[in-house]
Amino acid sequence: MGNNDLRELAIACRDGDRRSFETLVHSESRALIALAYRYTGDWEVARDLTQDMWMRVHERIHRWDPARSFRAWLLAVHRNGCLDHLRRAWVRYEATPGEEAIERLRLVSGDGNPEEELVRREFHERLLAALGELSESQRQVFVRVDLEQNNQKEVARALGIKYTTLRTTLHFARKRLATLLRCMEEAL
Amino acid sequence: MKKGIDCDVFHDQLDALKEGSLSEEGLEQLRLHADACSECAMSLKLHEHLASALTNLEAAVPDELVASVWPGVEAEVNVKRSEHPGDRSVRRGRSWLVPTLAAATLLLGVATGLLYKELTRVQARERVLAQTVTAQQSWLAELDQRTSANATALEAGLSGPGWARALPRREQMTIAELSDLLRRMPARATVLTTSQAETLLGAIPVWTPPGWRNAIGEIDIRDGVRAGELVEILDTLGVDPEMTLRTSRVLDLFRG
Repeated sequence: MGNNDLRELAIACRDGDRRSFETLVHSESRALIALAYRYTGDWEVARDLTQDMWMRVHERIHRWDPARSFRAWLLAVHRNGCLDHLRRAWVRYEATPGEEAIERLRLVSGDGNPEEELVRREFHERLLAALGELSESQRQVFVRVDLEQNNQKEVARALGIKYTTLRTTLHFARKRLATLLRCMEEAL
Repeated sequence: MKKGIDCDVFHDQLDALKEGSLSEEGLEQLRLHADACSECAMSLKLHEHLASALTNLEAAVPDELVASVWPGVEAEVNVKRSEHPGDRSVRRGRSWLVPTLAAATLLLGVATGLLYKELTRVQARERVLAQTVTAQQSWLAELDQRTSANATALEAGLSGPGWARALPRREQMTIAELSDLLRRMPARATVLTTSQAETLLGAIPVWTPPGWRNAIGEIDIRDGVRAGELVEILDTLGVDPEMTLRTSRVLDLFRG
């Protein structure tokens, strides 16, 4: 669903239209379950977290500013819920940011073409190796922005760094990863 | 050599691509730059790999899991609505707005009508009460005047029948009771007219003691006999206070 369609539905939902809310739940839940799965590695828990997130959205949608992206707001609410769950579960997310999520992505299969699947898995193995070569700050920023697809300003706020610092760190992380991956491919 | 855009702009546009806000022209510039810059090409490949992985992950979400989200959410919303009927977060949809407003307006109209009717009824009752109060005040004033009139009548002596009610409700009464009655009357109140006194004196029996006869003979009855005079006569004669008289006789005597 496009951003504009999503925004229209969200506005109707904010005005109390129950059908719009149901349509939102049906159209966005798959992506949200996938996001929660990247945090938890458990489909059932990911579904429960997604349901909890929709309840929060239902209660707080009047706080959403239509001038902002609804999808970004939705994802922010969902990520906060997932992180709360990890904190409650005593999972030390901060210690190994994104590693488990990357591992889970490696296990995900593609459309079924064996050759493409093999290429994709090999690339993913190299990515895991290259990620280990980044500094802690570069890895944190890359995982939170590019892998978890968080809003860059929100990540900067969460990490307690300036937005410009995050942008610079992210730029170097991407460049370093690209260099490492290119070198790995050339070495094959 | 980087065509069109440099690496910094490329990464900015890569962010726009992730957000879905990159234009066709921007995408073309992105690809042109990637063709010329191996590191940026790898960044684009990394982006596509992650996007593909995320897409594949979404595709891997079991359908029944996705389908089970809404029933759970709907049940929770319904429970919450029943627990907090006034909660803003469980507002009814815009489709409910018009009938709700119409119902509210109707209720307001009915309530206003009932209030107006009640107000009219209260005002009518208030008028009736005011009339009743006025009538009662008038009656009380009249009653007060009557009471004053009665007092005046008592002051006037035995002109009215009030004294007769003061007589004992017995067949016999004593001289003491008669004397007490006379003392309660105004002293100047006439209790016997001249003719009544003559009748009374003429009826004195022959066996009356001579001392009494002399005392009675000295009573001036030309202006009748007053209450005070009669008390004095009784005292002078030394009549036994316990001597009895027929109450009807006293009543006839005083009535004349």
